[in-house]
Amino acid sequence: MVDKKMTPFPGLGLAMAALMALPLQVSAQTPTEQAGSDKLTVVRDAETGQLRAPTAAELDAMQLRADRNLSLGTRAATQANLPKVHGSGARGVRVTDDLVGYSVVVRNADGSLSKRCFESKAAAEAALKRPDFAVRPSFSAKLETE
Amino acid sequence: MRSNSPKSITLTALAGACLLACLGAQAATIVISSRDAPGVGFNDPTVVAPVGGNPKTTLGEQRMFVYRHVADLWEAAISSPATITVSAGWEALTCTASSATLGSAGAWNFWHDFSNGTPNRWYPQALANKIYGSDLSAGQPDDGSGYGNVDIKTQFNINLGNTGCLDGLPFYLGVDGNAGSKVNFVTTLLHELGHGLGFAIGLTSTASGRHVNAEGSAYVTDGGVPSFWEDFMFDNTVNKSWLNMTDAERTASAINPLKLAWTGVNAVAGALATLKPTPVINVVTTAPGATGKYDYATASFGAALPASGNLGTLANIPAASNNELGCNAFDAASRAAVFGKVALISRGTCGFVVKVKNAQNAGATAVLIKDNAPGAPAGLGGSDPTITIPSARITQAAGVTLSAAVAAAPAKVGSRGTPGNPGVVASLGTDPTRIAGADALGRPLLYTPNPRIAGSSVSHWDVSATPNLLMEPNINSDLTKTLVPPKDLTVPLLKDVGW
Repeated sequence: MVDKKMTPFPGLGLAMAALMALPLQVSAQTPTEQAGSDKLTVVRDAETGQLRAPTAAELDAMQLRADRNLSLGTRAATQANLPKVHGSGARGVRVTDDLVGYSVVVRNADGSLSKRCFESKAAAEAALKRPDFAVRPSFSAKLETE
Repeated sequence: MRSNSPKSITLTALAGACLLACLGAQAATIVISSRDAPGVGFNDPTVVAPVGGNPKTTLGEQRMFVYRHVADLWEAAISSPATITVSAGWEALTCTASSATLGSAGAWNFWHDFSNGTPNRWYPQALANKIYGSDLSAGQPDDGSGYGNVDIKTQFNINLGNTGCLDGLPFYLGVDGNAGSKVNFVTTLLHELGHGLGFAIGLTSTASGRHVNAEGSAYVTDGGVPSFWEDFMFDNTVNKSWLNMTDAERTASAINPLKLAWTGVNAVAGALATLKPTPVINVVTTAPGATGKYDYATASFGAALPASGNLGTLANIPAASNNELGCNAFDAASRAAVFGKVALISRGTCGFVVKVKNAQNAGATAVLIKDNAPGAPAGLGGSDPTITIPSARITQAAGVTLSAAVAAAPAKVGSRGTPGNPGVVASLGTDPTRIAGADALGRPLLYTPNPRIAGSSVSHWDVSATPNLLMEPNINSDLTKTLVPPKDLTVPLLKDVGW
C-alpha cells in the first residue's frame, strides 16, 4: 500500500504483541476471562454466582479502584505508560490502549444500526453486552426501559 | 437562531465570523503509517469494485483511500507546523453476528509545560506540537513498537461484515455518504480522529475526577496536572469550572445531566449558529395554570414524533380501572377514555413498551409517559417493532399538571345550551428562547448522563443537540463531512483549545 503521505512502520510483531496484551481493569473481587486476544472484564453476580459483564456502575467502581492504585505505569506489565522528558523541560507520556476511544455498533431488531463511541475498550465491550444498547440513533447509551 | 430576533441576528453574525475564521487558510499535513502485514488490512489484495467515489480496486487500497480522504478533510480544517502522525492498522476486534467493535483511535502521546502552551495542562501530542511549533517526540527513543512516538493510534475491525461479525454489513468504503444500511467508515473515522486530535478530555479520569501526576505515571488525589479541556468546562450547578473543582466535584459534574457547558468562545458562537431551538409540547386548555410549553424526550421505539403539528387531545386512564400504570390490557372504560387520544400514563411497575403497546391496542394515537421522579425528561428505552404510535416522556411535574388539567377540563362535545370543551390539546413545536444542546447562555453542553455511561461521558457533545453533531457519542447516520457551523461544532471546539 503506497500513499502520498504514508510511511511504513517497522516492528509489526512487537506491535501485535502489545495489542494482544491489552491492559485489564480488574479488582480483587472480579475474576477475569480471556477470550482469544481480547481480555474482557467480567464480574461474578452476587446473587447467581455466575460471571457476567459489568454494569456501568460496576465499571465505574472498578475505574475508581484502578485510579487509587494507578499505576499508569503498572496497569499492565506488557503495555505500560511510558514517561518522556523533552530537552526543553516539557514532560510527556506515551499512553496505552486504555485511553483510546472505541466505536461499537449493534444491529437493532428493526435492522437499523446503532453506533456509539466510548473512551475505553472495557466500556465499549461492556456496552455491547447490554440489552439496552440497541436504541434509535440520537439516544443516550443507557436509556431506562421502565 | 432561526428566529428574527436582534439577538439571533447578532449571534449569527458572530458565528459567521467564526465560520470564516475556521475555514480560512488552514494547513496541516497528516501522515498515515500502516502497521499491517503484507496481504492483510491495508494490503488486502481482494479485488473489489469502485464504490461511491472511491476508485480503488482492491480492498486494501479502498481502505487507505478512505483514510486519506478523511485525513485530507482534517488537513483542510486545522493547521499545524508539525506533521501529524497516525499509526493505522486493521485487526480482529470483538464481534458477534449482530454487534461489533468497529475500531478505536486516540491520542497516543501527551505533553505538558512546553513553550507557548498553557502551563500545567496535559495536551495531546498533535496539539502540543502545533502550539510548541515542532514535534516534541522528535529524538525520543521508540518504545519498541515502531509507533511509540506517533500522535494518534488507530485500529479498525478487519472482519466487519464477515460471518460472525455483524454479518453482511461491512464498512461502506465510499466517500459519497450513501452508506445505506452499511457502516459509514468516513464518518466513523472522522469522529475517531477528532478524538485523537483533541476532542477528548484526555488524561483526567471522569470516573474519579483525578488528574495524572506531572510524571505521567499515576493518578493523584486532588492534585496533578489538569487536562487542557478543563479551562472550558463549566458546571452550571456549582458554578465552577473543572479547574477549580475537587476530584469529588468533578466526579459529580461528570454525571450532572445538561449542566456541564463548554465556555470556549468559538464553540459558543458556533452553537448559536448551529443548534436549533428546544422542541417542546405546546398545551392549550381552559384548565387554569396548565397552558404552556412542556419539555419531552422521545422513545427508542414506535413512530418518531414530528417536529411540529397537532399531537392530540390528552386523556387519563380512569382511576377505577386499577390500571393507571398501563401495565395491563385496558378495560372498556379505559379504552373509551384514550381512544383517538394521547394517553397520559405514569411511569412504573412495567416497561415503557408494555404501557405504550397496551395504549396502542386500546386505540390511543400517542402516549406521554409521566415520570415518577423529579428531573429533566430522559428518553424512553426499549424495543418493540409492533409499536407504531409515537411516545415521549414528560417530567413528573408536567405529568401532575397535565393529568390534573385533563380531570378539570375534560374534552366534551357541546350541545344546545351546554358549551363543549376541547379538553387539553397538545401540539408539537419549539421554544425559541432555549437552544437544544446548549445552556441558558447558549453555551453547548457536554455529555454527562446519569448514571455515567462508562467511557462515553464528557468527551462528547450532549445528545440533546439538534441537529446531530459529529462529536456526539452516537455516530448518527445523518452526519455529513462538514466540521464547522452552521452544520457542526467540531472545529470551533478545537479552535478553543488551541488548534
